Amino acid sequence: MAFGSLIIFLMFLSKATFEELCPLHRSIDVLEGEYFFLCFPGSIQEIFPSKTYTVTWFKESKGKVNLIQETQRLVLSGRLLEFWPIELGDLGNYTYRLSNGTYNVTSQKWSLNVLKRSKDSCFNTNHSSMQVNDAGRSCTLKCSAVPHSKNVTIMWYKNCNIYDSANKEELIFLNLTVEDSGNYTCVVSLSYARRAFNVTSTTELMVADDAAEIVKLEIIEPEETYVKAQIGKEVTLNCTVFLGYSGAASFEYTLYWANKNINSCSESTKEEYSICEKEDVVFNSGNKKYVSKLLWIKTVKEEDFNSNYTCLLKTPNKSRVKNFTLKKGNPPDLPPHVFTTGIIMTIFSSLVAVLLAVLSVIFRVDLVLFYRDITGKDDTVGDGKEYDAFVSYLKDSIPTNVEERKFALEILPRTLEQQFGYKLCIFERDVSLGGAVVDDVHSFIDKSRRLIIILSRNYISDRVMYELETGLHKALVERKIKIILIEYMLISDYNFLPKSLELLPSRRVVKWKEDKSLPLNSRFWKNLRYLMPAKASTSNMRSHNDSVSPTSEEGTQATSVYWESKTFL
Amino acid sequence: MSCSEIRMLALGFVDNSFDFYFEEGLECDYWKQAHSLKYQVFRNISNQVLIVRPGLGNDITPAFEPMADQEMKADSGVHFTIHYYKDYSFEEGLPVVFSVLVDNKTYCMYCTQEGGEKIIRFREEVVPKEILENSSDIIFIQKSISSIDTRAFKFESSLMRGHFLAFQHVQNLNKLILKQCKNEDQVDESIHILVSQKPI
Repeated sequence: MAFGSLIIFLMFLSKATFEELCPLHRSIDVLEGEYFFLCFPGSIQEIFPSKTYTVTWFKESKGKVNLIQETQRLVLSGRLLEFWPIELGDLGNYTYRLSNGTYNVTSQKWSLNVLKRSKDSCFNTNHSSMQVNDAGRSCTLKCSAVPHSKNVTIMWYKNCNIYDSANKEELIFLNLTVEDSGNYTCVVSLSYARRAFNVTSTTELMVADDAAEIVKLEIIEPEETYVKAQIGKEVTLNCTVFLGYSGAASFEYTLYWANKNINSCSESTKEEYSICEKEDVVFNSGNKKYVSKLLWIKTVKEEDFNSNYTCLLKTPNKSRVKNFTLKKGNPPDLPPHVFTTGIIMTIFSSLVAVLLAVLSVIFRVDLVLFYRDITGKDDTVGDGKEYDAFVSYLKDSIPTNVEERKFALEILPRTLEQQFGYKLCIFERDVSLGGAVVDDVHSFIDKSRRLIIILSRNYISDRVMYELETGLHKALVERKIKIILIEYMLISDYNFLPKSLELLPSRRVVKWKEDKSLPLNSRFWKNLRYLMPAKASTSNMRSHNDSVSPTSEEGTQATSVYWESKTFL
Repeated sequence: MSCSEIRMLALGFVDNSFDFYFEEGLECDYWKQAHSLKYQVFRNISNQVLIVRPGLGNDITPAFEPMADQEMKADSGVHFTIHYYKDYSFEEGLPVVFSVLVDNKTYCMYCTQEGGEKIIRFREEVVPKEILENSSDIIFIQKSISSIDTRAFKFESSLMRGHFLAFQHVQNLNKLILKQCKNEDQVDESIHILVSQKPI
């Protein structure tokens, strides 16, 4: 025990003597054949206020704990346990015990691992530390193997070639370049008992050529920090930070919404937050890196419009802040597909409307007649008139056209009266003879709602002309009667007719197209009926007459005879 | 320390943005854990690695010492976790908490005062999710040294403003200490700490 122990007097302790660092880490790698020492750090005074104590070292190897005896190779000196040099057999766990006779303290152990020397290199690749630095910076490589003894020589090697032999404890690089990268080995030589011993340490210097610039992190400033929102709707606020260029190192950061009550959306699923922040989203745009922090407000309330939402970016540099305010906004724009559909629908419906308008103009006659049929409209009630129409037709002149006569005296009255229930006034038939023709014409036109004038080249007799002029006067000046012109024959020259006839709207002229116009559903009759006043009984009358068979040969002939007789009266 | 005192203190530190901070106002200190980075290795400017190890009195001793990369084994007291916290002030720097796993126990770094000396110690503590108090001895503020150096930082105690993590040769160790730097603009390399991920 006496051999292994060493009495240390505190008086003996001097800071100048022990400039070295005692290893704290428990697993120590040592190179075979080098000088090595263990020592205990810290203040012993705190544990042993008394002035004297003993130090005992132990080695544990293969399950056995042995007291370390001092030899020429293993030197116990004060706090130190020195190896001159260390051998492969020194592998094991080492502890020391401090004792003042009554009180013992055992240290935690060191585990020594002895590495074999590399045969083809000046250092062992399993015994180096890496130091990374950026090109352009300054850098100091310190030889960590410098022991307590001052009588040392230090040699620096770069990749095992002599780099510096000026006995420097440290290498200083003022401006690093990529070429400075390499394994820097310092070999410290010291002598003991007339023998030279080495201690080596290797640092692998890696100079990173950061081509991309390192930037200060900044919150991207959108032009508007007012975000449009609607009450009752959700809104997401986006806070985006420029992280720098891809490939470049960037600073550590924390990006969050500065409100204690805002939690992470993913933090709790059982409790539904009305407002929460989403996880960071890191993305690239070109060679730029960004990160976004979204704040999600589930339902915007009235009071949310008055509060600020602050996005906070914390970096090792200055903090960055951005405030968001909610602004009452219009409903968001229509989605593009809704917009397109809407436009197409609008165009389509306006086309349909135009088409309908065109169709209703083309088929207005049919529509009006249809309307009269279904509503039973009657314009003739209570206007004090006796006849629906006064038919004006030449008869004084010598008939040159039998067909024309037949039309005026047979087809027209028969169809209008029997098929459509109108009551016509035909001078020759209805006016009793003997009266003044002029007065009669006047009073009968007054009693009629329409004046039907059958236009023909032959239509030039004075009386008929008088009828025409009277009618025109009443229609154009007094506006008491409406004139319907039936163009029986194609008239190219209207000069024989009164000029005022041209003032009549063209719609009031109905053209007779012979056989084509004969059927009851022909355009001629429709147009004529359209121009005639609406009469409630028309449809009823027609169906009634249809059943009665008005077009019987007998009836037609009778009428014909009757007309002829009258005509020749 | 009350909220209003913190506000005054903060205004004192924010030299050129007085108006802004006044306008925004500061909330009471309150920290909430954000993300964390595991297996962080701290080095001083001499490339020495920060290691913590229980000493004779079972105190955790933190010190910087040279280590080969292969010696940095798991649970060896060199792998720290940096926990980043959200705070609700607009001060410069990132609030962080350091934890380290030693012998399957999690220790947190904190600052304290012993015999008039401000020192760094470690205590067994689960890293809190939230710190509701107005001040905290485990919160340090990570600040950059230059605008282009993303590796080296200085760490200021949030409780003891103007005091930074540093190293000092004390009794055979390059001990981790708390060092006062009155003028932050003055370069003091002993407070520069390089942070790197564990070598793979």
